[in-house]
Amino acid sequence: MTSPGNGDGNGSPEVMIDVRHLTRYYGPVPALDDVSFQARRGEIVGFLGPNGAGKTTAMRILTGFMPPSAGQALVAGYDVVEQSLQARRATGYLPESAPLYADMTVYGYLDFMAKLRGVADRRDEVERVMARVSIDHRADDLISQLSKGLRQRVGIAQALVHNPPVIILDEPTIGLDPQQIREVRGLVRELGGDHTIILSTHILSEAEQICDRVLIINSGRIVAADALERLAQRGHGGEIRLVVGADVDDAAVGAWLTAVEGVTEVSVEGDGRFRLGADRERETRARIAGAVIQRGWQLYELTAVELTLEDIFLQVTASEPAAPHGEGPGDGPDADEAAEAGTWDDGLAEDEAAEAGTWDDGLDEDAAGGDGHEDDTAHPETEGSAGDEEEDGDA
Amino acid sequence: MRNLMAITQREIGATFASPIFWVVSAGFLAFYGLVFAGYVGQAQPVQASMRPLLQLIGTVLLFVTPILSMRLLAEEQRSGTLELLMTSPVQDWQVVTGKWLSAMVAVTLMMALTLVHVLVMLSLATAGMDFGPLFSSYLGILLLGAALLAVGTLTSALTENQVVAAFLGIMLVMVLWFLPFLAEVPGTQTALGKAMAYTGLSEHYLNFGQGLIDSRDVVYFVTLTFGALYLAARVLETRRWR
Repeated sequence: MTSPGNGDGNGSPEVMIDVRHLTRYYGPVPALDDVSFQARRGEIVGFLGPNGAGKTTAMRILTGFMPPSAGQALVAGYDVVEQSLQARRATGYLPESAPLYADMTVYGYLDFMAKLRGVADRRDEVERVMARVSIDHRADDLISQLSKGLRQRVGIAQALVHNPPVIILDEPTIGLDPQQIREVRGLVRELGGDHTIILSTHILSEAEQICDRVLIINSGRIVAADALERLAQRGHGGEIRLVVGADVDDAAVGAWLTAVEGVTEVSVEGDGRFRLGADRERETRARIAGAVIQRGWQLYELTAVELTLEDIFLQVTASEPAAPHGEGPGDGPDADEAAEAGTWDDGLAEDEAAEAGTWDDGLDEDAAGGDGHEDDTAHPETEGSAGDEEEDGDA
Repeated sequence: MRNLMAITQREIGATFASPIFWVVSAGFLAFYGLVFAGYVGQAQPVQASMRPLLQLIGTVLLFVTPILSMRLLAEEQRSGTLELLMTSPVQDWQVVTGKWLSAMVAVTLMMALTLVHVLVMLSLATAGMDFGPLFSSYLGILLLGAALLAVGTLTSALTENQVVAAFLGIMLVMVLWFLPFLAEVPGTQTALGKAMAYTGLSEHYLNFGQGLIDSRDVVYFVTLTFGALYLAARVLETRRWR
């Protein structure tokens, strides 16, 4: 790496974010442990990991909200500790849950943030970002009157208002309905190219869709830094979930399944439930479906199980004793675990579905399925009404 | 400067949007008016003297200012908006000073309303009024308000709980106010007694009622104000390190 020799540690001009051996302790516990990475101009980098993995801590250090215990971080060539104001000027930040001043109007708030960031043509810039996130029709409404999705848009707008080279988004899609999630993802993709973007998420498919590169973080360490394709491959492992009528003999079906061509592994879960490992799961599923029906068993479910973030985690962290999971690798993120941890993709879909009322199917598909074709479970399509309902807002 | 004004402006908006200011102002004016009416009704003949009013306003401010300032930093810490503020290119002292200034505007407005009572007193007074003490008294009130609000800003920086901030503030300013009374205990002749008498708020404040502006009193309040604001900025800074 070239250095200008002025001691600033300015890397090559293309490197917008340069993080070296970043460590942060909360008391004796390291929240970040020797993290190093770089992000180039126009690149979208995803931080992927469960809550408490250190994603937010890393972002807070990059945005100058808290200093590192050790190590160095440069944003747009500025040290986030030594040249904090310059670094902050070059950064747009959306903290988790998008905290906003509820007593201000959308326009008033964005104007205020623009003023703090020293924007010259405030009126133009504020109108530009409001149009960009499609909030201009609510410009004079109080933020307290906006729905969660609209607030999130305001949060993103304030991160863009000074047109910063670096944008840091902490969980930008959390708590949104599928329509909004799609919009936010589209927006982020659009912004990449001009801006260097770091976003955190715990939804694997989201990272796949938006990010050029993904850093998997666990227990404060980067456990995998992979190009998208390789992560995606890991995300589409050949696992199949099969549920047949409970009146059949599980052991017999299990034995029969073992013999089906393409099936590499069978685990019997009882009550007609099975989990299969398969080589080429599409063809294998077709074969199983045909055979099950032929035999007159009732077929309730036959689904390709996507490897969840947790599964990938367990793979990636298998050699690490610090991995904080008691369950075996075979366990998917079932309801209990999701409720307890509240962090995994499937769990999220369920939590939010409960909250949103009707978004269950849409969100589930959107969050858990990179491509819809792999999900054979019947989902009544409900997404169409998302926009209308959302526009009304809830006070 | 631009940042400071931006923060002050926003805070003034927030102050007048929140019910706290209106409730506290109404309560203050009602209480003050009641006591004032009692005072005017009793005194025969009515003497246009600022001293009792000054004492009354001072005592009430001890309770009013921490309530006005409790929101300033505590609420931002609780709601998380502080994170956005502190990741903007704004310096800590600008945040603290801007917020304090907005509270100063609120208190100044509230105190301006008490001029109505002064007018009433003037109309009732039998023997005219000396405007020297009036002017110096209001200077004293504003200086006291500034110092009390600075202490309140400090306690608001210390916690994300507004109620805790207010109570802590009230406790702190009460101690400062009553220090000269405690000085009686060790005896005014000892060094400790003198120090306590000097550090106390009430002595310096009531001096303004006599119509003279003693630079020592002014210096005292300015020092207290800047000291508390400086500490508040440092507390905010340490939040980054926690």
